[in-house]
Amino acid sequence: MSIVPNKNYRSAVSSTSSHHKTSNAAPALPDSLRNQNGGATPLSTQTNGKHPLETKLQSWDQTQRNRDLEQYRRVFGLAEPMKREMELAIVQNSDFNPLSQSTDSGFSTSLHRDILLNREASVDWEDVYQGSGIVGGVSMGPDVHGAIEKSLGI
Amino acid sequence: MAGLSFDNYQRNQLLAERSKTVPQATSTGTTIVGVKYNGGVLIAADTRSTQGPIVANKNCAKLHRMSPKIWCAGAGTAADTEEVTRLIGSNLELHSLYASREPRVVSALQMLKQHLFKYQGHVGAYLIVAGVDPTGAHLFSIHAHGSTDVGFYQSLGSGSLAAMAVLESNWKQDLTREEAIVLASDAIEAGIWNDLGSGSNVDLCVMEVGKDAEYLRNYRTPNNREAKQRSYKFARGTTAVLSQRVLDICQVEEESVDIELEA
Amino acid sequence: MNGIQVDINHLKKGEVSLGTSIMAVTFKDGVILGADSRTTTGAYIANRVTDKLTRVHDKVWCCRSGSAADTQAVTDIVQHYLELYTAQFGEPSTKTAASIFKTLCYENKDNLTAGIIVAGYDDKNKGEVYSIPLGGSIHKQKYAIAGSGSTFIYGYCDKNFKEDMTKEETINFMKNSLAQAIKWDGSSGGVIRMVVLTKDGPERLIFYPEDYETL
Repeated sequence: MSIVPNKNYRSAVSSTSSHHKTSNAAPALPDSLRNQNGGATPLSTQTNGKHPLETKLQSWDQTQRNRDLEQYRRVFGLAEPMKREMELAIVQNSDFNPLSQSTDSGFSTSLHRDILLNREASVDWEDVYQGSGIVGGVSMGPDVHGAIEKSLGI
Repeated sequence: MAGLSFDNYQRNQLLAERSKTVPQATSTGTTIVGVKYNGGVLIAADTRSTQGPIVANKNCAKLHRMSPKIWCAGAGTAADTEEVTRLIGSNLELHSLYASREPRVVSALQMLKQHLFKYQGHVGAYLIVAGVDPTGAHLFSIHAHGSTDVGFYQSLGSGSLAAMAVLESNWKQDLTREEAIVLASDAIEAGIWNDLGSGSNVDLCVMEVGKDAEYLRNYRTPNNREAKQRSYKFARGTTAVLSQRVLDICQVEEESVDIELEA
Repeated sequence: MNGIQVDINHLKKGEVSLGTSIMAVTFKDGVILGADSRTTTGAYIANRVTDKLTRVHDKVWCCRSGSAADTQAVTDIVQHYLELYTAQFGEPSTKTAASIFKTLCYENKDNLTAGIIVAGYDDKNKGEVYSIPLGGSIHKQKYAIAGSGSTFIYGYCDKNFKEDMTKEETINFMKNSLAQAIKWDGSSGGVIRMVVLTKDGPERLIFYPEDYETL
C-alpha cells in the first residue's frame, strides 16, 4: 500500500550487460545515442545525482495503481484485482495502432485502456509533453535517430 | 521521459557547483487574498511580478480562471501557478462534460492537491481557490506540498502578513458584497505598500451565487504614474540630417479586380 | 559527483506542518477527540483555526500531526478505502480503520511525516483509541496524546485520567490537558476543537482561548 514511491537510485551498474540497444548499422556495437544509461555515459552519473523527483514520477502512476489493486484485493478478494489486470492486458494486447510507437509509456491513444485506468476524462503533463527520442533505453514518441536512420536507409 | 524533463539536471548541478550564480525562476513576490461574504466569495491580487530585485511586469494578472465560476489566485513560482491552473482547469472542464454537471470547487481543490502532492513540493504553486457551484460559495487555500485549508478569509504570498493584518482587524461575520470588496482591496493595498515583492494595482474577481463571475481587472490603481512636469522630448530637427537614402525594399503591385456579386 | 545521497527524512523545505497538541480519550459512552488549531510554516502561523480532526467514517475520526500535506493525503486514501469497505461489509470497526492507517504509515514511513491518532465508536467495542506514531507502529490505548505539545502533559494526563468518566468529566480533562499543552508549546495554539463520538454519532465542540486560558 505505497502512496509515494521510493527514490530508486541504482546502487550498481553493469558495464557489460547484454540488453544495451545496439546500433542498427553495426549490431555488434552499443548505440551510444540510444543508450543514455550505458555506452558513453559515465557510470557515476547512473548511480547518483539524479533529481529526487525523477524516479518518483516514473513510478508514480504504477504505485497508485498498485495501491488501488491492493485495496480491491482486501475488500473484494483476489478475483477483483486479477479481473482488472486481465481486462487491461486484453485491451493492451489487442491494441493495434501502427501510428503510435508507444504502448506503455505515459501517453496512450487507446480509449479502452484509458477507461480501464480511469483516465478517459483527464489530462496530465504526460499527455501534453509527450517526450521524444529514447529515454532509459525505451523509445518514446517520435525518435529522431530512428527517423534519420530510416530516411537514409541505414 | 514524458512530462517533466530531467535531462539537464546533472548538467545544471555541475554548472551550479562550478559557478557562483544560479538562474532563479521568476517568483511572484505576491499578495493574494480571498474573502467570503454573504452570498458569495471574492479573490484579489496585486499585479507586480518580480525577477530578483527587478520588477518584471508592472501589471500582470495573477487571477486565473479554472472554470467560468471557479477562479484561482496564485503565489509562488509564476510559471507553476499559471500552468497548474491551466492543467487543472482543463481537467475540470473534462470532468464537468463527463458528468454533465457544473464543476464544483471541491473537485478543483481535490485535483489540485493531488497533483501538487504528486510533485512533492517541486511544483511551487501556492493557490487560493474560490468559486460558486450548486452547493454554494467556497474558499480554500493550497500550499505547494498539497495541503489545503478552509476559511472565511485567506491570504498567501510574500505580502500575506501585511494582508492578514488587515483581514484580522477588519473582518467580521456576515460581510456584504461591498464591504468584502473594500476589505479585500485594502488587504491587497497593505501588501502593495508594505511588501517589496508586491505592488502596482489591485485585481479582483467576485463570484456570487446565482450570478456570473465578475472579473474586475485593475479595480484599484493606486500607482498611476503622474504626468511629468516638463516635456523632455527633443524638438524636431535637433539631430542634423547628414544624408538621406531611400531604398525600395518591397514592390507594391496594384491591380483592380472586378467582383461580381450575386444577388 | 557527490557520492551516494543520504536521504534523511524530515519536513521538506517550506512545508506546512502541524506542530500540534492532539489527544483522544475513551469514556463511558464512547470517545472524544481533541486538538489545537495551529498550522505553521516556519515561524508563521499559516492557519490559526485549522481543523485537525478529520472524519474517515461516520463514527471513526482521526487527529492529524506532522506534515499537513502527508496526513491529508493519507486520510483521503483511508476515507476512500472505508467507503469501498462499507459498500461491501457495512460499518467498519475502529480497529479496521486504524489498521489501514497503520499499513499506509508503515509502508510509506520513508516518505511520510505523519503521526496520527485514530479514534472511533462501534457498537461492539464502544469507544476505542489507537495511536500511530511516526514509524508506523500501532498502539491501542485508553487515551492517547501526540504532537509537539503532548510532551508537556504526559505527567498531567497520567495523573488525571480515569477510566469510564462521564462526558463532562472527559471534556474537562481534555480541556485542561490541551490548555496546558497550548500554554507551554509554541507551535500549538488557537482554539480547542473536540469531536464527541457516541452511539448517537459525532458532535462537534469548540473552545475559544477565553474559555480555556482561565481554567
